[in-house]
Amino acid sequence: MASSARLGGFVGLAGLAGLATAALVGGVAKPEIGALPVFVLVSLSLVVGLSTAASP
Amino acid sequence: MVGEIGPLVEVGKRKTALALHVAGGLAGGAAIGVVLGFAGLLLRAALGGTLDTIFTVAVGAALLYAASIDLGLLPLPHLTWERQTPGAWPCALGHYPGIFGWGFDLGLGISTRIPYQSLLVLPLAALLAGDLATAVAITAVYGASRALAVVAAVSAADHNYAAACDAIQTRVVPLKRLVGATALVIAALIVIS
Repeated sequence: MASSARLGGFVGLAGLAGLATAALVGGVAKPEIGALPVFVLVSLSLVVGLSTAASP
Repeated sequence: MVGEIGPLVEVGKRKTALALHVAGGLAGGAAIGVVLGFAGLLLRAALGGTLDTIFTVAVGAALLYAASIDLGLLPLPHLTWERQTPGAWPCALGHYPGIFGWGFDLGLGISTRIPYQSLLVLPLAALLAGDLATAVAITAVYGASRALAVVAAVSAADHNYAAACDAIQTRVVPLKRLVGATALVIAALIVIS
């Protein structure tokens, strides 16, 4: 139970940090491709990154 | 990686080792983001607003292609490298530099085995965004989250790393489907945005 809670905590923190980064870049840097593509691509980075713990 | 780094963090300071692994992942992701971001700026200078159209078409199509393979809809060969991050680094470079190096190498994303085809879209999107901050955000978040996933798995393993590896292996196919489905949704969002 403690391990699952710790795992969930790590994943949740990573998600928050990643989405905050996306919001910061999309809002402050004002990229020409638009804020939404930046936000969704950073979200994809998060999902792919967090799904690859088993990879060598 | 969990099977490799797990026993190693039992030697020395566990939190330091895991923090260095995350720092390496973040640095590796940011490093390739800087390279792709500058290349993207060159493309932006050469192509101007046309690059935005190329971004939408190329990244949307690449996401559709990658999602179809990750979801198992297209029986096409899986593009990947055979290279894996060298297991000898902690011996050759030292304990902590080796663990940092593993994080850096994995954080680059494209220098080792490609677990999901959707991963290949990330450097393409970072290049075609034509913006340094966007490129670094995409790749650095990947590098850091990949390293954090290792830290989470090692922390949750409760010193039984072989069992943790077995548990992860049983989730590989569902995770691949999850990545594929996410890529499909993101392809739609990019095309309609």
